[in-house]
Amino acid sequence: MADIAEIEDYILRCSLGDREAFLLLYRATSAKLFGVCLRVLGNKAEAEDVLQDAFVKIWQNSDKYQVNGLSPMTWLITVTRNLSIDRVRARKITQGQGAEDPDVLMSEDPGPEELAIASSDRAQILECMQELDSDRADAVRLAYLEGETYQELATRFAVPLNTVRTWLRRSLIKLRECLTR
Amino acid sequence: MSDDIDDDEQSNLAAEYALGLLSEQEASAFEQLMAVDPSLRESYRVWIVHFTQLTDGIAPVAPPRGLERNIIDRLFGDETPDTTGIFGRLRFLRPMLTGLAAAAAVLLLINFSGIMDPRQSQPARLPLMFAELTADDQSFLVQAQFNPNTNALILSRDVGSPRPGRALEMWLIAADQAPVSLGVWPKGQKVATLIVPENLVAQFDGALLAVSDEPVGGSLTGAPSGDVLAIGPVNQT
Repeated sequence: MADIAEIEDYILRCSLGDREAFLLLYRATSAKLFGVCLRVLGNKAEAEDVLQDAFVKIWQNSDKYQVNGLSPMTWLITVTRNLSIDRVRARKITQGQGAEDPDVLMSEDPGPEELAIASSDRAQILECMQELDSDRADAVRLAYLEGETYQELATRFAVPLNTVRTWLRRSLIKLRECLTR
Repeated sequence: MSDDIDDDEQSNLAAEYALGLLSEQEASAFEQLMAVDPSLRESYRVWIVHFTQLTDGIAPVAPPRGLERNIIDRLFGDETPDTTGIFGRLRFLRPMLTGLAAAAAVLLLINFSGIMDPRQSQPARLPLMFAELTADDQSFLVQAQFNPNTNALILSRDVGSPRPGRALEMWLIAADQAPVSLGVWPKGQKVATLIVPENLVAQFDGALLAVSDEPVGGSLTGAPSGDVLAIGPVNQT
């Protein structure tokens, strides 16, 4: 994979209308972004659709990237994740809810051995999520990676909506304390 | 603006916005705050950086080979028709920016000061639009400039003030459509920037902009509930 400076350069060249740079950007980042689409959507056909939308949007908005103050992968992943979540929510509206299997959703947490191996270079937020009660960490993850709403989280954890919001907000405060430590 | 809410509250709102947990109304209120409050934008930026790391463990998966061609075709197909004809679908880009996608558009505006700076601006794809909102009795005058490339609606209230204990709310009225709220004017500010939701951008040209007298926080009904204080058409010149 191209390094951060190269990706940044591709995006800046896209903003000048450089189609070759767009192709290079696609080739450097599409696998990661497709992985994100697949993770959020859990469906290959939809992931392909959303990945196309994401790259169209990336091209169209590349001129704004240089002023947005984010690293290029953060920006690319955020565009892709948000479009994926929009798709998930649109799907729920048309198909009704409740299709997910919580066991499948939770199964991506690394086991203890993986954790031990990965801990040296793990992202700070993953370390800090460890300090939360596990169901609260799950709620944050479900909101970010599955697009779950407060209502869905309340149903999943069988607590009133206000309660889920209160404890998620408390968790966010704890998370921020840890992240700024 | 950020003085009104404490750090935790501000940080929580930014995190909930980044996660997509706010209701549509809350999210649009947050976007308006963020447009004028650098500390809120910074708070949001920091959360986005952290949350994005939740994708660190997601393995890359090569997309199918045809996808690259489809994207090229969608973006450039009308200029470079494919000779095989297989990819000759000249689809116009459909409007697809709703909900969180619109949130991502706001994310792009994080360094807000850069938007109107000619040194940083790239060749504009769509022309700017302007409106002058006036009152019959000249008691109100608002100048508006809308950039459809960035969704930023910049407002300047040259004459007139909100009534005591009341707020000003902006409305977009497209042909044959009910007024749609663009947000409440931040209290005490003569110049304000509102971020227009993506799905409304296409309705701007030729529409009317209006400002109405409303309760603090905006109309409770979703439609203008108080007097219309000034109104004017949106044009490209």
